[in-house]
Amino acid sequence: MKALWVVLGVLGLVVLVALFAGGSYVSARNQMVQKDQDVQNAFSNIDVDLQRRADLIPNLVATVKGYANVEETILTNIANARAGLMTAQTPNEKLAANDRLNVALLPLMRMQENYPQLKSNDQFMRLEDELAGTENRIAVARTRYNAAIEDYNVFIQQFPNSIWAGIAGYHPKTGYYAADTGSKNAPKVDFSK
Amino acid sequence: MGPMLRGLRWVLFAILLVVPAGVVRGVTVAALPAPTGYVNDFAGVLSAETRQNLEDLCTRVDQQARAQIAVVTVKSMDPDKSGAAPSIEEFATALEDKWKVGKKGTDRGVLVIVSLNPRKYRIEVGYGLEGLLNDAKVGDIGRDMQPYLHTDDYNHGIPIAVRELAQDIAADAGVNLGLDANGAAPAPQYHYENQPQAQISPIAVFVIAGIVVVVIGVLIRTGHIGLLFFLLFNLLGGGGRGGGGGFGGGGDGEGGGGFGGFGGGSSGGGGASGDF
Repeated sequence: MKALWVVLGVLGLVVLVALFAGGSYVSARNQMVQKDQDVQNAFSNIDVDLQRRADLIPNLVATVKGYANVEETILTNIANARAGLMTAQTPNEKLAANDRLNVALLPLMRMQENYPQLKSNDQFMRLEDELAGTENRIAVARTRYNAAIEDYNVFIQQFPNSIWAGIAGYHPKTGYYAADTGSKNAPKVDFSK
Repeated sequence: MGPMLRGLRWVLFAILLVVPAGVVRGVTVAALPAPTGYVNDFAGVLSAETRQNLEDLCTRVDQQARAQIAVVTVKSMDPDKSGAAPSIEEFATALEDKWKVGKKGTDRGVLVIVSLNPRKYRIEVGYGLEGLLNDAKVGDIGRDMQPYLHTDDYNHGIPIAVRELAQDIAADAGVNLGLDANGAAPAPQYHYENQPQAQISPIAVFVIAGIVVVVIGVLIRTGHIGLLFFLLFNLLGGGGRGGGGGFGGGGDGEGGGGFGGFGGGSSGGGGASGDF
């Protein structure tokens, strides 16, 4: 009789633990789904802005060409970098391609400063506004993308979520995107050209 | 001796409380107080008349065209926790994240920020107005205001930008703001006819209070007073979980006129900035 109670007690305990664990798993998993989705949304916001930027580049090039003599190599570099951005697939590829486009655009941006008529042209100023606005949007979207990834990573590495994440197949995201390395060292301006 | 010392301590305490508020004119976004109106002149460069005119105009835009314009001036932008002084773009985004100009869901909000040191301005456009106020248009508006800012004529420059923004928003919404020849808005019409509905007669107050007292009495006598706390905590908990909505009255600034707090708007870095 006493043995039966012990067995029942142990069984009850097991059921209780299983219930808690199951509840914890379901709740953690639902949150992981949500946070994973948040990261994807945050990236798609960057993606929209990257696309917008790529669309603006031909206008910029055409406007500058109307006023200034642009070297052929500069134009080729820009065209290549833009094509790279259009064909990139994964988030990391896209962001890397965007950085290459930044570098390719630098000479063009430098040139404008030598052409006062260009700088005071209404159409050109509006184009600059659009470009600057797009770049700022990319910066904001990047910050939010980073925040989403950080939130996700912290969540799945906390106990007990770390166990459930392993079971459910959620891994830390490595796409954590710091500011482009190029922006840390000031661009070199070659005045001899 | 004792009482005097204690009194002195209170005076010191009061000074400590008041002095920082006077010296720090909200230089970091985190330290900026909640907005008191559409116009928040932390740098103190606008005259009372300009402030009132702008408030009237922004109230009209909010009531008639369902878009919120916030005007902010700051003396400087000091480093936040990260240590680096923010650019005006970062400052604008952080402020929009904090104040949430524009209604939740529509995101129809614009933030006009003027910083005196560095001398920069920015017009940050919420998601809901990006289609209407594109970066190029906002850039033009900024350039219209820039010459006035350059000569420290903030009382002319800032209203020019706000008026242009207001007119664009109103034209898009198909409403007439009724601006006069100078572009100034008449004082907004408060909907007084709506107010009696909101007022509760004293008799109703007594009746409701009576009911509440009776219900509480019954609960205490039957030993179910715990239920009340359970409900209270549920309400509080539910409110906390709702989160994200920012401060302020949200959608209820409509009938009463005047500033009802910003809603839950957000922006993604759209707009334009410049030096002056």
